Amino acid sequence: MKQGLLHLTFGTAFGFVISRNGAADFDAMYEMFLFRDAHLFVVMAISTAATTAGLWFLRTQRIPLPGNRPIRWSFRPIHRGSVIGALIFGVGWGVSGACPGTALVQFGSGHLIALSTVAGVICGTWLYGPLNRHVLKWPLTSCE
Amino acid sequence: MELASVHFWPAWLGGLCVALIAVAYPVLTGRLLGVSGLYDLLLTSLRKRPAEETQTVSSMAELEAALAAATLEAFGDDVVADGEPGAVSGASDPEVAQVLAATFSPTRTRPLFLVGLILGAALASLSAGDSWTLTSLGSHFDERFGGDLVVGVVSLFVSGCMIGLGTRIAGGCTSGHGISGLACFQVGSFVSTATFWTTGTLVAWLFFWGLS
Repeated sequence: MKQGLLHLTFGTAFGFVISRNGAADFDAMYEMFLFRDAHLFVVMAISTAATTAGLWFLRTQRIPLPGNRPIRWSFRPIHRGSVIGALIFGVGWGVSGACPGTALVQFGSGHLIALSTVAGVICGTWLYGPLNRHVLKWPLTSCE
Repeated sequence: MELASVHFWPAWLGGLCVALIAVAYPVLTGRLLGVSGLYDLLLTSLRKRPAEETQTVSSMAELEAALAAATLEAFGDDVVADGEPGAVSGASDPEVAQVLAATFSPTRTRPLFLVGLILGAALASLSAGDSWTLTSLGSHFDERFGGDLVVGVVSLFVSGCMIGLGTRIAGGCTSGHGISGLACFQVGSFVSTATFWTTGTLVAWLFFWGLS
C-alpha cells in the first residue's frame, strides 16, 4: 500500500514535470527534431547533467538511505539489441513524437488520440516475449 | 509561427525538476528510473493473477516461493527488501533465490507509476488551463497527417508498437537509457541513446520533407 502510493506519487510528479517541460508536446518535439528550437535539447542536457551529479554523489558518498535499502544499480553494457532496438524505437519516436512515458502524458493532457500510441506500446512490449522466445532467443534484458 | 516552448517552464527549471525526480526515485524505491520496463512489469503483473498463483507446486523452490508470496500478501511488501533475494532466510541456493527474487519484486505496485504519469499530466494541463484537443496532438501533427483521423490513429498505433518492441530489445527508453543510463556512464545507454536520437531526427526530417 505504502509502496503503491510512493510509485503513484513519483509517477504523478514526473508526469506533471514532463508536461510542463513540453517533452510530451508533439509540436515542441518536432521543433527539436527539425532544429528549430533548442528548448528540449537544453532540458535533456540539464536533466542528464544534474542527474549524473546527483547519482554520483549517492554512489560515492554512500549516504544512509531510508530503511537501509541499497540502490540496485543497473548495468547496461552494449548487447545485440542496443543498436537494432534503438533503431526501431527511433522510427516510432520520430513519427509519433512519443516515448513510453510521454505517450501516457499526452493522453493525460487531454489528447485522447494518444491512447492509440499507448495501446501500440503495450502491444509492442508484449510482442517482444514471443519474438524473443521463438526467433531471437537472446538472454532476457530488462529496463530496471 | 510561435515556438511551442514559450508555453513551458524555462529549460533550467524543467531540467532540474527531472533530475530531482531521477535522483529521489532510487533513494526511495531502490531502483533507477526507467519507464519502458514498467510496461513489461504491468503485463507480467496482469498475467500473474491470484488464481494462477494457487496452482500445485512441483519443487521445493516453488513451495518456498508460494509460502513467501502468501507472507507478502498478508504483511505487504514493506516487510521484505525490494526484490532482494538475500533478505529472505534460506535463499542461499541460487535457484531458490531467483524464484524468490521474482516473487518479491513488487510487480503490482511499481506499474502505478504509469497511472501517476496520466494523473500528473492531467493536473498540469488543468492547472495551466490548456485546452483539450481529443483528436489531435498539435498543429504540426495536423499538418503531417492532414487532419485524417484514421491515418493518425493507425500511424500512432504502429509507431507505438515500434516504441514498445524497440525499447524492449534495446533494454531501455529515453528515461532508462537517456537519463539514468547516461548519468551512470553506461556504454550501452550511450550507444542506444545516440542511435534512437539520430534515427528519430532523421525520420522526422524525412517525414517533414516527404509530406511538405
